[in-house]
Amino acid sequence: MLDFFRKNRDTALGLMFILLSIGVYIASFSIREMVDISVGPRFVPRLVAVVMAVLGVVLIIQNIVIRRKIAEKVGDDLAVEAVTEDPDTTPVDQIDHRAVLGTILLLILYVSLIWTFGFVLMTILYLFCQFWVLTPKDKRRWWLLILIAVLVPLGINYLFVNWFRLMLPSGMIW
Amino acid sequence: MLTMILNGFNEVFALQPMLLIIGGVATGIIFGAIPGLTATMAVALCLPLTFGMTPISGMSLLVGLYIGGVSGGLISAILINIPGTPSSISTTFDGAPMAQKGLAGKALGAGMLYSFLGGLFSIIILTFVSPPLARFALRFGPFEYFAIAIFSLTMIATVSAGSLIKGLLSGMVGVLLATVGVAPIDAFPRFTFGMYELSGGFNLLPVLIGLFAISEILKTAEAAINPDMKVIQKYKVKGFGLSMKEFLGQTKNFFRSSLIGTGIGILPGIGGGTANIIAYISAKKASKHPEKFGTGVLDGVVASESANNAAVGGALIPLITLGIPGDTVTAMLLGGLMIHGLAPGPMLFVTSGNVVYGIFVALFIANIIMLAMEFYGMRIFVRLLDIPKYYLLPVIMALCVVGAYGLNNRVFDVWSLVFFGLLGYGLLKTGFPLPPVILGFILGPIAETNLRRGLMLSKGDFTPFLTRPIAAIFLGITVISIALSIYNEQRRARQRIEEAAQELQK
Repeated sequence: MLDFFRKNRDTALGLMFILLSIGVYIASFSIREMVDISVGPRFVPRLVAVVMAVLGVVLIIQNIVIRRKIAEKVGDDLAVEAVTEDPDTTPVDQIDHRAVLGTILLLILYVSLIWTFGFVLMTILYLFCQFWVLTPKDKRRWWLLILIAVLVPLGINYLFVNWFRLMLPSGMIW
Repeated sequence: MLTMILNGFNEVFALQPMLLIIGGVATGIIFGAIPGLTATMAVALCLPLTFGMTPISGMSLLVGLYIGGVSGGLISAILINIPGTPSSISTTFDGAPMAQKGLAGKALGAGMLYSFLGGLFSIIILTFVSPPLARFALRFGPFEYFAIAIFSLTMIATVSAGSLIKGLLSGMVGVLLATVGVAPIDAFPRFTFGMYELSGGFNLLPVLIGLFAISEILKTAEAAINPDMKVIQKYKVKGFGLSMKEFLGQTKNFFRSSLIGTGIGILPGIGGGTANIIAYISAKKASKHPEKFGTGVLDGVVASESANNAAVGGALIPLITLGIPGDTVTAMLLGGLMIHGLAPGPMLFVTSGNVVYGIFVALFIANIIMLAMEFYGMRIFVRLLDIPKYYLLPVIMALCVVGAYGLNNRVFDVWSLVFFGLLGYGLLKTGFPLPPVILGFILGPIAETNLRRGLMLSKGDFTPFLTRPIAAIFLGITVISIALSIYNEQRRARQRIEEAAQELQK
């Protein structure tokens, strides 16, 4: 499944952009507009939709045509490798998916619960969990993690409220 | 003009701006030095802090962060062979080999000295070129602004890394996101889907922090568990490590690299990240001993570090004279000015000349402080490279939330932050460059507003966009640059086919 998507990544992305364009174009009908104007509030969203759709088509064609040309010379497997330019990041097989998914999940939990617990309490909780997810097992010293997780939010709270006069998210508990 | 500069000194030489510059430069160097944290991130996170300050103080902080952030990258580039920011990619080419040969002190010394000199060069150009340019730009009307916005938008999409189509699509995503909210001119709501919060559109700050900080944190989290970096701790610094003869020998290289840096900085869409590589290649081509490049020659470090700091002053020229940001950091400086109700552009010299010259002076001072701090505090910054990522990233994440909330105190902005963070990460993972999204987000509305104003002036006639000389020139260059990139794209595709064929033969 993952492999199939990787092979046809750019085709799938092209399709996604075309669908998005159609959605934008349809949604643009709900924009109110004065009747006697050629370039009104609908113009730019529609232009973007059309350009995006065209670019999406080009992306798909590019992906298919280039891959076929490469495949003629070197065979199918290498062609996929050559077309799927992975961005300059960690190689796929070295990605720690658990850490990334855990981080995303914790971020969403953090932001959802911050209005209940308040900035300081929730940040202490968040930091501790996030440290736990990212720290290698052999380096997890729970007392150190707790210490940093408690000191940092208190420090931020003091600095931002007293020095920079910014408000921090406040919750029902704190 | 001299009185304006002196006036600027007067404004910046107060306790608060000076402390903020010092703090900004130090923070900037730290963000620049630690791989995974960038100057862009530092400026984005500190932007909300400037809300309660005077414009001069706020800009002093941001400018300090910018200068420190661009220069700080050299530390990790030389000592651990990983560029701290994209601006110091080519510093690793010769800086790291120098460090392995035991010349780390010399490489660091030359790096910081030429960062300073390159920065100084571009700040002087900025100070003297901007005022006449702004006077000229006062004559620009909607036709010209529309053309410049379109030009900048396509430039960034065509020069950004990776495929042309994806760069353009990224730009379109940015333009589309900016259409949410009320339309310019007649203020009809667009894509608000009945949500009250969307009627104001997305706030620039959560967009910036989400796209550039959250996505970067997620990217770094991918490899957080196995971060084994070797920091070269043993080195000696004596002065700048350069003899007078070596210094004089670099004069030509320095001027060439600084000119390249400033020039590339001025062009919209590309900045220090491209300038350092082009300056390095030019230095290699012009050198009498190009074969030694990459083995640890001084010339490489000098070229890269002069150019990336020279790009700082260059990038500020279009921002200050036209109100058009050239890269992601200047996009945030634009936000920093707008927080205080100042609209960058030629009128800024007229309405708030003190702020403009204050920025020039703050840049100048930040540059000196950067040199002094790196000279005396290098050991402290090197220590900081040892802080494990797994402690650093969560703290930065919490700061992102503070930053997104701090400006308007809206729950909505924090959720936008999460949305844009995930969007940015998704785009990064599928090979879409992020800078065009931001530039599209900022330039889209500028282009739209001026298009509609222009059409109102010409009573619906499109021809003035092509007959007014400056507008025509910019639109002409736009067409040429797109044509050139299509040509390049095809050549690249052919190259890839050949490379793949060669790989098979191995």
